[in-house]
Amino acid sequence: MISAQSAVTMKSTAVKHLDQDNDLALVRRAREGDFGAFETLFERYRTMVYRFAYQMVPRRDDAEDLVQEAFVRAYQNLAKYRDEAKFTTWLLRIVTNLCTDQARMSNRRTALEQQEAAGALDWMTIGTLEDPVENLEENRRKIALRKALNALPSHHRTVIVLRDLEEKEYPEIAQILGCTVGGAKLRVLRARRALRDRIAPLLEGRP
Amino acid sequence: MKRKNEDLATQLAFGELSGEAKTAAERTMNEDTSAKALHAEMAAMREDLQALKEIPEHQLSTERLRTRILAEGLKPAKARTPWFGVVWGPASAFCLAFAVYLLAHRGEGVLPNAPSGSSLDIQAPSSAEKPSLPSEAIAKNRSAPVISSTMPAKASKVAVSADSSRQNPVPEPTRDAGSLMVASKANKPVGALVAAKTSANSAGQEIALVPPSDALVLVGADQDEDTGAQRATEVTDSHNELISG
Repeated sequence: MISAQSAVTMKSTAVKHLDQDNDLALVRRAREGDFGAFETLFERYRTMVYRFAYQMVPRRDDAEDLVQEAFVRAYQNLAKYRDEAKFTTWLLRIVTNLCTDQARMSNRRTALEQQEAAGALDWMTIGTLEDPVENLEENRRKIALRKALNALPSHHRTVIVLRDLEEKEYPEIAQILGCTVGGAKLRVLRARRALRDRIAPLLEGRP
Repeated sequence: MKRKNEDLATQLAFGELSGEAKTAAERTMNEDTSAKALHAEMAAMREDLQALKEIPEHQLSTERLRTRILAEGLKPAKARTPWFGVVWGPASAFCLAFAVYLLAHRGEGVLPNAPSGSSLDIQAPSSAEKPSLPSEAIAKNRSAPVISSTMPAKASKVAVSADSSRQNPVPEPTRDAGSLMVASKANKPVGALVAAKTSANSAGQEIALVPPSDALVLVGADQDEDTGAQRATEVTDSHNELISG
């Protein structure tokens, strides 16, 4: 049983190394002007990047625009990519920076939109009427949590998405954020605390 | 509740503790009720966050990216070669040091490290050699250059010589090949005069360089009313003169 497990582990490690080598080869080809190689990288990682972007920005089309912009920037800056880091880590770092920039720019716009929609959302999410349908309650909680997550500052949102939604390991988070592993752990802890403070009313009523 | 217990409750709820640390944290939760409550809240939050993993399908297409990148003609930026800094860093430092050295020794008239016997004293020209009079006054007092000119008939010919020593005779201006002669009476050898003949026939152009002299003759574009030739002016230096083609 143990040998079978270790064999599976070794196989997955080997596959990871193979992927990384493969990424590196594709990056090198793309640097030399082979756009097809870059398209392969795009097809391989667009879903992963989109997942992260979608959690960072509330709308799908915004997330798609972010993904495209991230890949364009990656293509233009391929020369700056250092081979010792994973390509996905580098890519996520680009997306993180883009998300931070966008959050900074659209802060005011979002605040206005939220103010306008506050009445409707409050009615939908913090309704006082008892809801007989359980899935509706679940949906309500989900929407409220999403809203709370989006309302978090960008740096808190980033680490929660990376750690609790994308389930990245701390060393990789540290690489993406450009900090130490200890620093990454501390940031995650603070972000969770901030999220919990926002959704405390929602959690209190939970059995 | 202690901050340490708060952190332990969060880490335990998110499954980031294992082994002995996990057992110790569970024991702490049992002892601290507020920490236990926080642990329950955090566990609920974790569960709720799992629900957010569901996201709508994207509509990203390779064609869209291709259009964006290829249509706009975007290209990967070239990387700087590693030796760039290695070469230019010391070179820049050397240039800077040299510039500082020159600035520091600007006031001194002696070239550095020159042998004592052959030291070159750089001195400012005396007032006798370089009077501070206007150029017109200088032109009157000094031996004025003789300027003779004729109307160009077929082709222009320019010759410059010094009267004092005719070691290198310059051809006299001829009527068929209109020429402008600028001659200086300054006591300067004409040996330095270098002439380049581009053509031997009359239609060709003969160019002679100005010999080293204190006086500088500028040939202007405007014509003299009497002779019809281009007007010439003598100056001692060209600091305030605008020279263009």
